[in-house]
Amino acid sequence: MRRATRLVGLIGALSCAAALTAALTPSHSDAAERERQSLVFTGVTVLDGLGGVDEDATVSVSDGRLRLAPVGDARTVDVDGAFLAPGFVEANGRLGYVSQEAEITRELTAWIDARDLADPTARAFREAALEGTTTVVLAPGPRNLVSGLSQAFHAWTRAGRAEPIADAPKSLHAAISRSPSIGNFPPRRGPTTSIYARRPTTRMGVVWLLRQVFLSAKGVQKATNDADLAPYRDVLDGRRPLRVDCHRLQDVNATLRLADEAGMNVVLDGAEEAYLRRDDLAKRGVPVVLGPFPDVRTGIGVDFTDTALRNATMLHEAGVTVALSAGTSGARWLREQGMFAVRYGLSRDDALAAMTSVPADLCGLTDRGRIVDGAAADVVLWSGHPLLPTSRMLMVVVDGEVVFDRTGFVRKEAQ
Amino acid sequence: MSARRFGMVALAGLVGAVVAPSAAHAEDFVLQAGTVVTADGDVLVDGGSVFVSGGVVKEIKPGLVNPWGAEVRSHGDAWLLPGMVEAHSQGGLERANETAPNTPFVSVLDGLDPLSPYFENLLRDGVTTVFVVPGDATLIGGQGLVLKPIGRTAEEMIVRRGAGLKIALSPRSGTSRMAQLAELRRSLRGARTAEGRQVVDDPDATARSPRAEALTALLAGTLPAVMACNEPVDVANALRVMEEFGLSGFLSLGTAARRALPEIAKRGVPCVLAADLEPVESNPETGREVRRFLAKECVDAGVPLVIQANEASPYGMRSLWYQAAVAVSQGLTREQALRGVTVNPARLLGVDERVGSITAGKDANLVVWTGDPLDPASWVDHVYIEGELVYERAKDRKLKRLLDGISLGRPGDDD
Repeated sequence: MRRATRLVGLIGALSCAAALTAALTPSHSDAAERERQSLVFTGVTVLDGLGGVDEDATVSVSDGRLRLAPVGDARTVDVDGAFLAPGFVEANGRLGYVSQEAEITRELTAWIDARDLADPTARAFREAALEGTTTVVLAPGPRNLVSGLSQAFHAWTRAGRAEPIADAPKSLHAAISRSPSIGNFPPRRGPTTSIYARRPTTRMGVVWLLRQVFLSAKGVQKATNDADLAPYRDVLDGRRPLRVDCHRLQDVNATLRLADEAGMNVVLDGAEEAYLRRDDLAKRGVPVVLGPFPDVRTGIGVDFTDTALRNATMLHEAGVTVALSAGTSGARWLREQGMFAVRYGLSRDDALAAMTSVPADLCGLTDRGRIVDGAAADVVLWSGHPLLPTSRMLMVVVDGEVVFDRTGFVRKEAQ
Repeated sequence: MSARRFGMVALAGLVGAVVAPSAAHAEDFVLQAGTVVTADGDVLVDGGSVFVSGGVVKEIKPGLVNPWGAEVRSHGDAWLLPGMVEAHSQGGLERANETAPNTPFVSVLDGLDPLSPYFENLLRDGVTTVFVVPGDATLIGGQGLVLKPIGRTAEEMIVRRGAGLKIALSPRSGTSRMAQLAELRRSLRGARTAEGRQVVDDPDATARSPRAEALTALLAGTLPAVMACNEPVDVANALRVMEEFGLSGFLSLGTAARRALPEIAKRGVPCVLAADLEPVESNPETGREVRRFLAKECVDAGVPLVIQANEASPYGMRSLWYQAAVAVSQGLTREQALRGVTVNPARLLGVDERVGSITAGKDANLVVWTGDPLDPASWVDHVYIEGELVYERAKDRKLKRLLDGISLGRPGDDD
């Protein structure tokens, strides 16, 4: 039995190593692919991702950047009635995991980096890109208290895999919800340091442990291991955003209380009941990353939250910064989240901004998620407005490279 | 429009907006809308007037006119469409399959929950006819019913009894395809023998044996077979068995069975497409993944398009209108896509003389949409079934609650 377990472990380690090698080894055609093709989109309706619409624009892609003027020696893309929009930015990517989504053997794993978390060749990344998502900010899952650091990825590249975006800022991810304590129980016997004796076991304990680590980082409380506190100090110094996975109103309340005590800025993830404190959130300037929508058939959301499908609309109208995410349902469904946010009251322009420039800014990717002169060339060409289900993807450009091209998809009128 | 006149009774307080139909038909009236799509070939963009009498559509005229002198119900800029027809569903059933593999004698009549939220959600999505049938996990799963999604008993809801007997061609786990087919043939042969014996020996034997009753009706062609086919080979087998035993009916396809569409076209057997209209197929040898566009393949093959809702997608959002929009994104015309959720499924289910289009002589199953039904920003405002107003969005308290969530007032304020 024991040998079998070891063998499985060994095979797992080997396959992980193989995946890692594949991810780290540049493919032989890399050099050719780096020579980015220049493109000019003419006569397209441009949605700039910042709320603006230009119904007859020319946008060029050259050397990985966008230009709002034609460039020479470029392939011209001219499709009647097409829309050009920034690629969607999934701010709370939860896909492509090779194993567990969090290091659940400890409560605080701020040193875990999402860069190593996912299989970059996972089909979920490709699926996301096929639905117009060009950036996935991958986060470790909220299965323990502080789950680690995020990593932004190009959702799909010509090399046939997702690739980390160099120098992308990383946020620290924590959870104030049911998930970090669920399944934990006090030890019946044996040392409390055993990994089987995980704390905390209640919502109170969750908040208490988080408070302890931030007060330690602040120097208010004596720290046990100073080196581990660096990521928390980054948060306290405003160098790194703290993203908190919270669902119920009580979690939102606890998060805001903790933010006040430690004097730090937070971003709320999930936040199904955030609409109940929308005025406070607006006043404090606390942004939220919403989604996915709860199951409308049952009306019961994560952590038994009360469904309010107009959550995004109510928050936006109150002045809260809102980003949309497909979260656990997979980045493939981000476009659908946007469509249904429109159904539930957001304007199309606001919904698109909430999937492009807003999440990009929240993740420190300030040159992505928008079509402006000089921005990174992450754009998607659609047959109609990207937030209509009748539209189809025609071309996906990631970092200046054409990743998918369906402009040749000829409409065939049938009898 | 007084509430009393239409006998509006809230269904056990579940939905204020869903009202039970009164026994007597409403009097004559004229329904007017800015855009009328009959699904029978006509799209009246400059307004249309539909004269309803005795629960039946009597006449349709372009323009906002009333030569009939009846009460006018005007819906301004709204769109008027026939109620959509869901061709294949397990909605309203607690369990879709018996654990025993061969149960031709069971009927969804005995397992149907008329108060299931499934039915009221159909009204919210503009569906007025649904075929509820057992699932695919058995060999012969039982009998389905064509229903309207309104009523307190299954009997009240019935549009067509004996609408189909579910037969699954794909083997259950632990059995082979050969064994599945052998068992199916054995059952049918047994029924054929019983049928013969009935005449010779004991005329009352079949009447006393519900098992034989269903199979006898199947063999006589009065009960259609609903052949569930996951793989192309299942389609071939289904067509062979139908020919051997002289069965009529239609196929319900899994995603992989799309490869048999040319064969299905050749044989002229109707079919319902798989719920996932854009499955990803992976080549087992190369690992190459290709997304398939089923609605387009279906129309290209010359098979009449019949779409079902995709209950399996995250968050239950993929209702018929959404699926029709997806079909348009694949390159179909709007007319083709709309026929795929109205007249075509009505014909497949053998109820096209009553439902599926706004046509003189058919049931007045009419749905008023706030705008284009293929745009997620549009909502179903009013639903008429057989001339009765059965749903009004303005009175849909449950929808309001889902949209707005809870309010933090005093206890009881929220009711």
